[in-house]
Order: sequence, then C-alpha cells, then structure tokens
Amino acid sequence: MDILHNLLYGFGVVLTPINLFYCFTGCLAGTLVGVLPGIGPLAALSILLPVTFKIPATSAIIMLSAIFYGAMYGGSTTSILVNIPGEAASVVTCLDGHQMAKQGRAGAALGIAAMGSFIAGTLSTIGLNFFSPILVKVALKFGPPEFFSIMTLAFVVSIFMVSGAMSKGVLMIALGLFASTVGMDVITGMERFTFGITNLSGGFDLVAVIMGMFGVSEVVLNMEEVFKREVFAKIKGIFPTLRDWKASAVPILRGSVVGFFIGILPGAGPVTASFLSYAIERKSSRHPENFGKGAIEGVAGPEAANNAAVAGSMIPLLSLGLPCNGVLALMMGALIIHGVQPGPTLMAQHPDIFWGVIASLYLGNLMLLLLNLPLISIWVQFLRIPYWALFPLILMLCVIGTYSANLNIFDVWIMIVFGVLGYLLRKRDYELGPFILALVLGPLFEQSLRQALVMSHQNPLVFLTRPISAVMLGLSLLLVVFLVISAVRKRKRYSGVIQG
Amino acid sequence: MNNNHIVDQIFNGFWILFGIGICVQSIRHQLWTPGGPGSGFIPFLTGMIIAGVGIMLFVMEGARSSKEAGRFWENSVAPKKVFYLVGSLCLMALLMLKLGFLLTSIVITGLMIQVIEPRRWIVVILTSTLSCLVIYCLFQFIMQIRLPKGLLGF
Repeated sequence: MDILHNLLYGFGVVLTPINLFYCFTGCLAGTLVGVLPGIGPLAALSILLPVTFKIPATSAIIMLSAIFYGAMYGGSTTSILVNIPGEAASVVTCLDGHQMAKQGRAGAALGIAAMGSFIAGTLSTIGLNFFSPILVKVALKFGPPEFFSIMTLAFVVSIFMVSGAMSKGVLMIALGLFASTVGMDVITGMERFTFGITNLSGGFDLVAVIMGMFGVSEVVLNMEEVFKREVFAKIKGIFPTLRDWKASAVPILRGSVVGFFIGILPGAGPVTASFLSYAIERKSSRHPENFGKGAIEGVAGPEAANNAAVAGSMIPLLSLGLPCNGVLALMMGALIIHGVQPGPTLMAQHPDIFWGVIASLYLGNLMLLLLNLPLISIWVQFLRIPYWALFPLILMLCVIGTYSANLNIFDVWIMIVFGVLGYLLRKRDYELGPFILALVLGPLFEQSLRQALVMSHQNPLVFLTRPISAVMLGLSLLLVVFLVISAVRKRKRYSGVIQG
Repeated sequence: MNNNHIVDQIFNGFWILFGIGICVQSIRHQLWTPGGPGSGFIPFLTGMIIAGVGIMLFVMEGARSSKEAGRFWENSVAPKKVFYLVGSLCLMALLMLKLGFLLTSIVITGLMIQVIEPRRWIVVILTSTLSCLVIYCLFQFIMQIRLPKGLLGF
C-alpha cells in the first residue's frame, strides 16, 4: 500500500503543468536525438544539461530521463530506415530492422519496435515500482568484488556480441580500458599517460570520444558511399499483423525481463541489454538462420530490452547513487549540481524527485507511443533531408555538443582524433561498442579491482568466496569457454573449406 | 597501401608497438604497491592484451594471401573526401575561437558542401547560412549555451 501511496504522490508531482511540459519536451528532444544519426542520448544530455540549471531539480531530472528513454524509442527509426543506429543501444536493431525495411516491411518493424518499447518500458517501470525495495537490498550487498565481477561479465558479454573476429573485440575492450586510465589516478593522484598535457588530467572527455567515434566516423564512412545510402521513407502498415505479434510477444516479454535486470546491474545498461536480448533470441529461435535477414524477433526483443533497461538502470542511480553508464553519470551530475545527493537517502529526503521520476516514466512511455506511431511519417521527414545538407549539420552539432560540455576547444580536437580512429577501425571491421563500454566502465572496474584486493589483503580468492561475485565470474568463464570453442570450430571449418 | 592486407598488417604492427609502449610506460607508474595494485597495473594488463592480440592478428594475417583482401578505398574520390572532411573539422577547431562560432560554421559548412558534394553556389550559401543560423539561435538563445564569439562579437 505504501508503494501505491508513494506512486500516487509521484503522479501528483509529475502532473503539474511545468513537469508535464518538461516531460513532453524531453520525450520530443529524445525522439529527435534518437532519430538523428550522429547525436546520441549522451551527447544530447550533455548539450541540454546547462539548460536544466535554471529549472527546479525535479523538472530537470524528469526532462533528462525523458530524453534518455525518448532516444531509445527514436533510435530504432534510423536503425530500421537508414541502417544507421541513432544511438548505441539501437545497433542490433539495424541487423534485422533494416533487412525488414529492404523487404518492404519497414512499417511492421517500426510498429513492433514502438509497441515493444512501450510494453517493455511500462513493465519495467512497474518492476522498478514494486520490486525496487527488494532489489535495492540485494544491490546493497554489492562490494568491490561484486562490482568487478559484474563488469567482467559485461565485457565478456560485449565480446560475445561482436559479429566479426572475437580477437578484435578483445582488443577493443583492452583499448577502451586503457583509454579510461588516461588522466589522474583517483587512488594515488598520479597522472598517467598525459605527457604533460594538462587538458588530459581529467582523462578523455566521454562526450568528445563518443561524438568522434560514433558521430564523426559515421559521417566520414557515409561520405564514401553517399550515393548508396537508402532511406526507406515509404512506410505502410505501422500496426503489426497478428502473425507479427505471435512472433514478437515472447521476445518482447523476454526482452523486458532481460532489459530490466541487466539495467539494474551496475556496469550494464541499454546497450548490453539489447545485445544480450538479441543473442538470447537468436539462440532460442527455431530458425536462427533467419536472424540478420529480417527476423521480427530480432527487432522486438532488443528494442524491448533497451527500453526496459532504462527503468532498471534508474534503481542503482536513485537508490545507491551509482550511475551504470555515461548517460546516468551525467544525470547524477545534474542532481549534484542541484544540491541533491543521490544515494540511499534520496527516497527519504527528496521523495518528489524519487517518485516523480518513477511516475514520469509511466507518462513518458505513453507520450512516446503517441509521438512515435502516428507521427512516424513526420520523423521520417528528417531522414529525407539530402545527405549533402545533413552531414555538415551533424558535424556542427558534434562540434557544439563536444565544445559545450566543458567549453573547451581541446575536446573538439579529441573528438576529431577519435573520429579518425573510429573511421579507420570501422573500415577494418573493429566494432566500437566494446570500446565505449570499456571506456565508460573502466574507472569503476579499476577502482573495484584495486579496492577488492586491498580489502582482502591482496588475496585474489576474494572474488570466488563471495557468492554473487563467484556466480558472475563463473558465468563469464562459461561464456569465454563457449566463445573459444566456437572460434576453434569456425576456424577448422574455414581451413576445411580452403583445403577442400 | 590501398590493399586491405597491407592496411591490416600496419594496424597489427601498430597494436604490437602501442601495446609494448603502454607496458613500458606502465612500469614507470608502478605496477604493484605494498597496498595492492599500483597506478600502472591495469594499463600494463591492457598493454599486454593489445600487444598479444596484435601479434596473433599479425601472424594470422601473414598466413593469408594478399590477393584475398579487397581494397581499403573503393574509389579514388573516397580518400580525398575523407581528407577534406577531416581538414574542415581541423579548420573549424582552429578558427572557432578567433572568428566566433557563427561565422566559422557558415564558412566551413559552405566549403565542406562545395568541396565534397559540389552544388550551385547560391544553394550552398543558402543552406550553410540557414542551417548554421538555426543551430546558432537554438544553442545561443534557447539553450543559452555560451558559444565562442570571436573578434566580430557573434
């Protein structure tokens, strides 16, 4: 009853004109950000962060959350229609969503993505609402060994999702982890790999790296094959057929559960959730060969998962003050700027923020469904802008987004460097997802490892003697064994074909 | 240079050297302290992995015939476009603080379109001016983000 009472209080907070306005603005901005390739939720949040300084803390967090889950909705549109993920969590949607569009089923793909997102978003908000006290109790037991093991699992899972060579995935993780160590070591205060450049003392700016790796490299790659770019702007039958629903119902439910729980896990988030959901759907399908060729389950599951993960990822942030990813780290920054300390005391000290944000998730999901389905043809118009007019615009947005985060031109240079690096890597089939994941999680990963070893007097068995940590490491090991076996088999098959 | 086999080997060679470089530098940052892992511990591990995977990829790629590999750039225009685009961004970063965001972005956007995807001058000027003005107004006035003003004051 307490939960219902609190939820009603939350609705009382969000149903004021000012908060409704900011929730709607956030949904609108989020969808636009998701639709426009080259500008993801992290960039949008960092760009809009200064705007929130002048509004009340509750409204600010409601708007920033709405941008976050709005981008998850909007991201599927470009993935399906242009084969460019609007944001990282929509990368997997490209695989089957774009194939469906090529087969003339863009409407069904967009429809199932929007409805799946709505269902999953609502289900996971209910989950967040009712199960948060229990989950918070579990999460409170996490110490450095658990954090380390969970992040190890996240890295292994991200290698599992790499479609090309596994070794390149491992290399990208290592490169991301290394990049995260550049700057001042928070434990010893020692500067690492800065080579005397003071701008690097705080490490690489995440916004600059992401803008470069995803935004700039995307534009450069597209410029090479600008005339091959296909936009499937003719959309028919947005409402999925009964057959589509039959095929998608279980993946949506599964995606909701996977997304919600992956979202809760520190270190994971919408990106991991969507990748994991895709892998689960492919493994559990009777026709795995259809994946990558336009299987609707490959759209429904990951889209549900990435939206469910948004609500899930709010739990550690709101209750423990622990941001799971870059987007939530920015939201945490926004809370601190407003004088609100995220953590276990938030629920008691600022119930308007805690329950207001939860209630806004329900409303926001509904707003997004109404914004996305009937207005899809309007969103598609953004994709009709000729690329020669769009690419300088995306680049200018990348430049402003990067610059405005710290008002530092050095970050623009970092963006350019990472843009070129991202372009070269993508040309040679290195996937950038594991790199970004490792870059975001790197500092917490390193800190957890070092703290765990310090608290156990340098006994590495600490990771195995604690049950949650042991289970996570066991799962990671199983996945690694599976990966190695499949790589060896693949290689044997390949050499057999060459010899034959 | 335009063969993917050669590009891959350059990449792999770079990974090996880069990984070794990280390891050497990490040792200077202390790998282990009496209290546990030092500042150089994680970078050292990542350096080892990067160099190790680099060696593996180098050997694997070496066993492959260069004839199997495709071309890095499909046509001769592609590298020029990439060069112009990156060059324009560098120019933007160099001039933005001196000339201000609005002026720099209009000039660079116009140049980018004209050099990379040539159109009639009037179309280029209109497109670059309008799009940059919209962005400028959005960020400067609505979002109230302090964009560089430069010598001309806007």
